Amino acid sequence: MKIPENPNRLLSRQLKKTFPDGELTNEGMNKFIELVNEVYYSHDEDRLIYQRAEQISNRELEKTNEELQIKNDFLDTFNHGMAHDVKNHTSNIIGLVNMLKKYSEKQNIDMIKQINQQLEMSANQLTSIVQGFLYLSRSESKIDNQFTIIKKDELIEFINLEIQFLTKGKNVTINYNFNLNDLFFSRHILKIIFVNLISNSIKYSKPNKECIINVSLTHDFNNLELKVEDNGIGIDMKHAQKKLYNLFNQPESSENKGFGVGLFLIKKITDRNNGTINFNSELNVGTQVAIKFPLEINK
Amino acid sequence: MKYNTIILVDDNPTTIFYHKDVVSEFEPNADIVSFDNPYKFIDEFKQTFSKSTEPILLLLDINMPEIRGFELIELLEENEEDMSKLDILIVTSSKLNSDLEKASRYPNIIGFIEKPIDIDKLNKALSGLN
Repeated sequence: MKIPENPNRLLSRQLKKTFPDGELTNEGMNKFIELVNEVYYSHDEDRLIYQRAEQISNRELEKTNEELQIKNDFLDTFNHGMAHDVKNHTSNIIGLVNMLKKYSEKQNIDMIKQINQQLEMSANQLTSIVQGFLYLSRSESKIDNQFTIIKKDELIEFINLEIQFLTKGKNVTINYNFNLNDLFFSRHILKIIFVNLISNSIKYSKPNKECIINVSLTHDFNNLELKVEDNGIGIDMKHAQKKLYNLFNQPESSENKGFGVGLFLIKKITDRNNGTINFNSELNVGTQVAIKFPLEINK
Repeated sequence: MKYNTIILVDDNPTTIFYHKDVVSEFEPNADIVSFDNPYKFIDEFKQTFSKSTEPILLLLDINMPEIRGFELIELLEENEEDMSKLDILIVTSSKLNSDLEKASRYPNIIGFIEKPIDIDKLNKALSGLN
């Protein structure tokens, strides 16, 4: 038997090694078949590895696609809701400015005062909507995943700084009850949640009555709980199921004083960190929101 | 068309504040009643407005967190209220074609008006030019 002409380059090198004289001997043939066998084995193995790699990358792709789809849908609704919210408040401001022109001509001081008050409120609402938007665009990035040891005084100072424009000239008392013992958590998440909940409590406080807000932050080894409790106007829970769902789940339903974006944002953050929200409210009595996060000590 | 009663339903008190002003200039002799809670309006409609013998104009916010404007009309229909005297102007923050289409299903809707409302827009909406 002769070696076939023009075999594969690697094969011919192997053939030359096994049959140095160019003669296909029986002894050489056995050795050669062993070698070929080995090649087939490793080829099989390679194929399995390749298949596994392919499966993994397909799964990853699917997962990424899914995540992108969710993000996209979210941005879509969010942008729609934001635009809607901003448009509404801008309309209010334009309407109020037109009124202001009319009553300035008439020099009706009493009306001018009232309009100014409404204008200030609308401008503040618009600001808090935009602030929520800024927070959210930031929280979509990685910032909220930076965990640090939480310092009580620093956190309170920051919260007060953020809400001062809402408390100015109002009868608001905020009681902080933070029990922290080497709490390792995201400062950013705590700030966003507290600022948004306290803002809502101030916005929905009873007119002509002292607004009292109890804010607490407690934790043990397993859980962390944030609580904000107020004595505001509250919500009638009987009629509120749908409203509540909308407030937490759809930014577009927030055709209302910038309430929606804040709660929507909180829901997003809570979901992402495996937390739970407990909302309780009574009309004319007040509202209590409690948010719980599991603490992953071993992580 | 002259209206002796004009009702405003909107969940935002500031919106009601300036709508009230525009509407009272538009129809100086009309009674203007406002609701920032749509369910209160539904109750009041049963009690009072359904018994009216004169035409009533309702400026209805299309998008409230508690209930959408269209759903509110459906609720009135479900309750079998007498809506024969009720003319509805839908108030929106932006006109969507899907809403315009939907409106054709409700005979009480006579038009749309976009915020911020003014006397010109009210005139146009009520003369069917909008």
